[in-house]
Amino acid sequence: MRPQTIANLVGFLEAVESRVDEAILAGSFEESQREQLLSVASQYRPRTRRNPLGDPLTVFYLIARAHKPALDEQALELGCFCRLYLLALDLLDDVQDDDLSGKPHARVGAGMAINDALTLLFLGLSALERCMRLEQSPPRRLSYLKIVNRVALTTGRGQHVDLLGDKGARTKAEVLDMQRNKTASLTLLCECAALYAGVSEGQREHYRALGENLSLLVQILDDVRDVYGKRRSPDLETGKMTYPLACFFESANHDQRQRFEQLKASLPDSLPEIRKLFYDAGTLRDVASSMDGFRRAMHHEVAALGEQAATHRLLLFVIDKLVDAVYTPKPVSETAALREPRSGFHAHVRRLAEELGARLQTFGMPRIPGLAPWHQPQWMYEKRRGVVYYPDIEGLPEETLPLQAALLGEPDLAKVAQLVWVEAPVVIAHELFHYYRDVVGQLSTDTWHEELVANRLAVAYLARFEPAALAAAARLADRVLSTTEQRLTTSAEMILKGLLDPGRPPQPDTGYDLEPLQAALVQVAMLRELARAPDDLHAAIDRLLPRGRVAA
Amino acid sequence: MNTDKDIELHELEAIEQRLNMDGGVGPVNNDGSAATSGRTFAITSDSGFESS
Repeated sequence: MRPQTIANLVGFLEAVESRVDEAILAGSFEESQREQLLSVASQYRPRTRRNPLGDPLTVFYLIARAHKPALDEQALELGCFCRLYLLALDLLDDVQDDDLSGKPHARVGAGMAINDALTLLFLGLSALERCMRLEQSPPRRLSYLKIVNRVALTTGRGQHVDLLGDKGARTKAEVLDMQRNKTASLTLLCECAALYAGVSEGQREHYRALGENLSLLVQILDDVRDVYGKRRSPDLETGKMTYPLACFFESANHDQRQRFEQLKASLPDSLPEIRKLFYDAGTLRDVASSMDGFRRAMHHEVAALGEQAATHRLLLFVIDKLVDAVYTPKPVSETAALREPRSGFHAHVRRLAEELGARLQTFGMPRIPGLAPWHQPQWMYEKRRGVVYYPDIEGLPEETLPLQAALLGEPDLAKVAQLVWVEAPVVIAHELFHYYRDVVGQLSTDTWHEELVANRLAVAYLARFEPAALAAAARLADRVLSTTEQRLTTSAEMILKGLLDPGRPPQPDTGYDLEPLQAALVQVAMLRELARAPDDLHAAIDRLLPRGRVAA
Repeated sequence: MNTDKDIELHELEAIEQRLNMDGGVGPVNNDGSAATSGRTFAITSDSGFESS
């Protein structure tokens, strides 16, 4: 067995993927079965690789990392078990719902699918056994089995009620009860992670409650997606009772019900009209209200855990992003301290932003936007929310610093963090000027042009108010660009050359069109160039932030 | 205690756009058809201006 410790999310997900594949390859399966099992195991990978936060195992990782500095062999085996368990249950669910179309088992049929689902389940149990062997505490060792047994039985009860169809759950409360049970697998992830992390009984209860609420939220969102996110609604077409439908039937008047029955008979063509009917009847608002109850309950559980872990903050970010598909989640006061930390680098960023905000007020600019730490290496102004995100270099260094490390050619993450402090004045100014451009209605869709404008304003601001910080940032840019490994590719050079050409025509709806490292290098090169001859701040603001259009 | 009035529901078109199966990790079949179930969940990405 290879001893491993892992301290970043993608590394964990990739290691679990490898474990799953190895378990299948080591299973002496006939070639066609091996291929079928590998196809099932890999079916969601293109999506989860694109968006690791969308992987359910991310929840496991974030909970475990809240209490452990790194994850080890035992976590990988446990993650492997959880993954195989989820895959097995998904496959069984597809057979029960007659939903193998387009999936790896469509050609070979339900019999093969059932056999492979059971095979995946037992491969998972082997991984669980390996995890339990690595567990030092005998009571905790036994607890793994107890949790799995309880969750599996709960899921079975929920599935049964679901399969009863018309004779099963009908009211909102019954549907929620059924869904709570059938999606207990997400609770399994939370409880297993908490058990592995060695938290107290009381904390495990909070994680169990968090898992139950997450299961419900994800299932309801899945129900909403069935109606609003697909070309056809399998649930409506098969007459399945879902939470939105239960909400509709509990509040709709006679005419609305009659209209629904008419439209239902004309599916799939009538799906847009059913969407509108649900929306206008207040069904979606009722559903969103329930979703928000579960979201707030999860914030409550995290607050009750009493930890100020950065991975908890990221977990709440994930949860809030889930509901953001339907409504705008409001800040929850119980988790305000976790959401907006005020120490260390967070205090540094906040102070820099507030100083800039105070100085810019004399130019007629409004208050600064919200500031939020996150898991990405880049800083970002999010137009829709009006929030500036910055890398959580202290709470999530393994997520946020490797790109900077590559850029700076500095392998020691502690030293990289110090350099991020040095560059913070110019980067936060840059992001705030994106925000001010937005406020005055000047923010265009010409991405690189906006980068140039934000850099130009940031350099002008620093030259006026923080010349030492500008000089330090320019020295850092020199250091980055003098490293032989940090060469701009031909396309990056063309972008830079084009940007610095005063005659460059506007290019609407562009993206960065570069790898993150190359995009960062273009920014650094642009900054160095602009720092050689900063614009006058007054002139730059007059030209690039016309005050007459300030909205706030 | 939150009430319905606290909910800032998105416009219908925005909800359709954000829940679109192409927008994130979701239970979609390999042929692009919609699955009736799934235990993955979606987080759609937001556009924004980035700096490293």
